[in-house]
Amino acid sequence: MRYLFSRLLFYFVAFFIAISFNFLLPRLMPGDPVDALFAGAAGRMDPSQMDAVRAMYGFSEGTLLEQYGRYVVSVFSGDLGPSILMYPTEVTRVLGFTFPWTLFLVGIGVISAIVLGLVFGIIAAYRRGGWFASIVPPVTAVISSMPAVVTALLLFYFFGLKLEWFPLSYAADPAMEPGWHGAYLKSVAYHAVLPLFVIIMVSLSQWVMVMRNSMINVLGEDMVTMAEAKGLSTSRIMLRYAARNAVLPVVTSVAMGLGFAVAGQIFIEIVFNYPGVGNTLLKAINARDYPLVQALLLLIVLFVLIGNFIADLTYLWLDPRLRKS
Amino acid sequence: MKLLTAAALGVSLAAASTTVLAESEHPHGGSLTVPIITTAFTESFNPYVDPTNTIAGIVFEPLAFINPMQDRTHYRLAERYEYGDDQRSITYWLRDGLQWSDGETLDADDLMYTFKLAKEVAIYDLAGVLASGRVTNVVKVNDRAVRFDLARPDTTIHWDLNTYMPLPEHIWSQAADPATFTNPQAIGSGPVTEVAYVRAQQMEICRNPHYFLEDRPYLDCIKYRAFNDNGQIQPALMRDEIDWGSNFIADIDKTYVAADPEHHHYWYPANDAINIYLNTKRAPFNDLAFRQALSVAIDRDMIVELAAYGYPTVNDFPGGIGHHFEAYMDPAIYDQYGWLGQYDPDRARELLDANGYVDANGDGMRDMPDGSELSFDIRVVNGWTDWVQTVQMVTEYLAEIGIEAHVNAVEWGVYDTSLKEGDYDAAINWSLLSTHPIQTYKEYYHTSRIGQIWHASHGVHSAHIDELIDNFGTLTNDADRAATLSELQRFTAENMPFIPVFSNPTWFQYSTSRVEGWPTPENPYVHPVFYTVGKKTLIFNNLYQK
Repeated sequence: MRYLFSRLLFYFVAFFIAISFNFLLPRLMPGDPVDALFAGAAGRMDPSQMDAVRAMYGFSEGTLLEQYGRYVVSVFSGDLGPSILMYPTEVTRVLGFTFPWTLFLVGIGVISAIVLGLVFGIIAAYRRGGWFASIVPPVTAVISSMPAVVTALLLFYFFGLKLEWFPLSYAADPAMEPGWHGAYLKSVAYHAVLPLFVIIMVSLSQWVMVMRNSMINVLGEDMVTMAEAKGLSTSRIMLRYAARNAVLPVVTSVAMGLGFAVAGQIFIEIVFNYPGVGNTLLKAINARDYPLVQALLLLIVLFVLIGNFIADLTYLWLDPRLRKS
Repeated sequence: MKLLTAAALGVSLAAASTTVLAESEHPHGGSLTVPIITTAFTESFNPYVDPTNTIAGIVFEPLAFINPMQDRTHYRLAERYEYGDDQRSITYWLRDGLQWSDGETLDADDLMYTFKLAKEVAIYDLAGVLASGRVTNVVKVNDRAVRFDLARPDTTIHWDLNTYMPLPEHIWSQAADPATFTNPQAIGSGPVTEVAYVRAQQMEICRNPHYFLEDRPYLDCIKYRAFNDNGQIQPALMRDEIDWGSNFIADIDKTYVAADPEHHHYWYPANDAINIYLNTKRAPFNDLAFRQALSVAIDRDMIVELAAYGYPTVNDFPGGIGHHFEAYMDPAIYDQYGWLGQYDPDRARELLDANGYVDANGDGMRDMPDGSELSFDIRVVNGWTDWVQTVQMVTEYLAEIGIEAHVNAVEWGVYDTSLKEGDYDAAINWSLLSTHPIQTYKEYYHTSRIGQIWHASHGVHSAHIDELIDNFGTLTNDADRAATLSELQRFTAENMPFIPVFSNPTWFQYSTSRVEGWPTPENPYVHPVFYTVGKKTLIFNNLYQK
């Protein structure tokens, strides 16, 4: 219980530091949101008009400290104000239609990568020396070491632009009425193929490696030798004995990986113009859309922290030594 | 009867607005797809709160707009306007029988309400005519006419008044806060007002049942699609998902046109002037001879050809305006100062030698007359590739005459602030493109613009020039106006606070695979821009399904 309490306190402090950075970072960047917003209009707008717009968005009010005070209140009250890019739409509404897409991509992508990675890792460890173990881990490592944006651009170019097998942008056919009907879901799946593929390719290697290494350690332990000596079946030893024990250290990586995947997905979303958090974050930063940047970063921070917290809880549940202390 | 005349007027006006389409009638139907750089579309149909530039000119129309390409006024909701005898007032007459898209009458009361809002809520004062005090009073003359009383004789006020878009009083007066009102039912006066759907990545709006031009638009709907940047629009154009692009497309002949040569076209007429601004408050730019040497040291033809894919128009006119305003260029300036726009590295070397910029320490590069090192940065926005390449080439030309200059690519925010505050050595930037060159000169020189805008912080100003700009609106005959413009051009050529390089192209790509009726080099009925209200409306109303 004390362990849990100290963790919660830690998360609260971390959260506070993170949101303070969220507040400061956009303000430390040079430039003015209204100017950036109308940069595309290339000076065709009258500056007195710009001042009016600035006042309307509320950028001329108060010292940094006063702004910070209002910001902290807004974070805890959930009223994050209107977005500048999409004025007067509320930031929370923007999160409402961007976050589900990111969650969908990250969820499916990371879970598939983890499942595939764990399976590959288990096989590679158990059959070390075989062809699988000598080919799969190095190949996934090479693919994963390419920056996500390069992988994404390559797939975009060949399978989107050249071969025209897959759509170039959006999460679904934009002319289609969204809803839980077959045609739309099919369109969503079709649009998700390339981005998902990139996510899996990019993160697969780390799961393969973590699982393989962890497995190799476990396989060296006496209980495995004992099981082998008893003549148990290979699959039983591999899954029930070795994998089950080896998965413990993987849990932390999984939980943290989920959180970081949200942040790491930014470039993938940008390349495929996928309407998620990453894509929106880039636009918001360029536009100095403070409210939106803050809200998106807040979301990412929350996600990372929640991921970590789940890892803590899982550890607590899996490892009896922690519960005792 | 009333309706009949309105219809007749509408048809004749539409016919007058284009030459080629005048005879033919096109069937209704089809839609137009336009890319918009935005995160997501939202259900907001307020033309004065329109960050994505999708509502103004489409759901709402302005009173009128001026088409410099043909030097004529296109009346939209206004039927005409006229200055009072002393130029101290201007009266606008609305067309007869105008209706809002919900069938309510659109009349002078709505116009009065629009300007009442402009007075109360800053964002509705689109061109600042009330905030600046140029308009002192707005008076309803009758149901269709409104008079604007002016603080002083001002024959240029219609440029600004034309941009205001009348709002439906019966809708807006219900709003709690006009600054955030979204006009959710999209009640407007433009060609399309019926919202088919608004989704995050696409929005579609269809024909206005009560539009004043009875036969227009030909197309039923306009579809907007969301993109992040030009890089994403390019493949969508190549795959023919988009009909009308207004974006920089790299190597367009090979990428866009080659993908479907029969239907993919572009037309890049001259737009605003692109200059290299020199900070004359700093050495060595405080020396006119040095500034002149820079100007003749660069080969504009090569820069346009190599750095900008040949799309811009070379600007060798030293008088401060680009080829969009070609009609206003004074030939006398060309005669006297034309050499400043011609590539002549020998002359540049002579100028530098004569003024003491020689290699003092023997490192092969020139130094300041006092022997100190001569080196400066040319500032440009990071990622604006054609400009970065332009500046790169300029530094290479300068190196050829022994001057050390560097590309200084910075993020937009830094660039924006430093140019406004005058904290730069040299910087590439555009100029204001507007209805008339006097507005461009105001941005270059007027002391009230220093610190407000990128173009005004170069340090060359004069009280006399301020006065010329301020008094332009009181001039009533063409000769006086031309004299003022000549003087401003001479002032620019004599002082050279910036080096003209080229006139930006107007980015305009169009596909004829589904839609015809575009402005083309053969039928240039309007400057083909999407972001200008009025021009956008005129083009949309001329498009038809193949």
